[in-house]
Amino acid sequence: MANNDAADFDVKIIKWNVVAFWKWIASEEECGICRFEFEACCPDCRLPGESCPMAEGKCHHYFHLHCIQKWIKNVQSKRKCPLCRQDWSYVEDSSEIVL
Amino acid sequence: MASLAIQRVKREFKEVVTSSEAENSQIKLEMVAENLKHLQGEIKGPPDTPFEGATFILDILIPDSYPFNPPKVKFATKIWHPNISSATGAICLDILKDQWAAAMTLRTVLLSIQALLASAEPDDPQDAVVAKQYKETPEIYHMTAKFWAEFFAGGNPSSYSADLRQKVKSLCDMGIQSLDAVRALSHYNWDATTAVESIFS
Repeated sequence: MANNDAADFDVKIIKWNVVAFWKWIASEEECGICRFEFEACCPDCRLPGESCPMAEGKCHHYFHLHCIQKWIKNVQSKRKCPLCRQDWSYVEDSSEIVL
Repeated sequence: MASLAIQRVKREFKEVVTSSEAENSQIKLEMVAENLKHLQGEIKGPPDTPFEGATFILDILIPDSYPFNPPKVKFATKIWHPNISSATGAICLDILKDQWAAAMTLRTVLLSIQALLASAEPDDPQDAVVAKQYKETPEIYHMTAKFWAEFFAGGNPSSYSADLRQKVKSLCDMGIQSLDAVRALSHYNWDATTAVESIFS
């Protein structure tokens, strides 16, 4: 019997497709600067994910890190959040991604 | 950089077209050149203002650095308003200058300009002549703004528009171009003699 059972489960794996789903957790769906979803990358990048992360401000507004960096570098910004005009600073726990 | 500008304008186009304001035909946005860098906006004059019933065309240029810098917007339609140049259509509005933020869109810009028509800031003028008239003789300002809206932007005629048209016509009969006539008369509070003198001096 045991042998027969073993024969029944003699499955050969030829190909295995693993599917995973990920999402940035933010109060908004898309970046207010480039208007692309956070799950897509900023217009300067090619691959979404860790190489093009999302950044959160202390005012709880979210942008692609690359987009908000470009805005803050711009004199026009006066270093304020593009959505609420409060002084922009990054939320502490996203600082590890910021580096 | 330039690709971000174009991609964002594409998305904003959709936003304007599907907006409730577009549905109520309060705002409109069209392409002028195929490259999405030159657009034409349209706003309706707000109710209870001299601009009610009129339609104003705006010329919009998108800089390569958009949305990190504001779009360049000016009136293509002639308008009499303290914060808009009656000669060039240049607009004095903080969000088009130092108060621009990257999260603003062409939709919010069009709505802000429409709001500017309803609430002039004569202490921060773009056109000093208009601002002076607005402050010193508000009833003449109102009449003139309404006349310009009717004459240049398809606004509804008012009870005094026949009189004013007659004054314009009397100057045109002297060989003055109608635009110059309207400008001079508006500048000199519709005093035909002074207006004519200013043109021929």
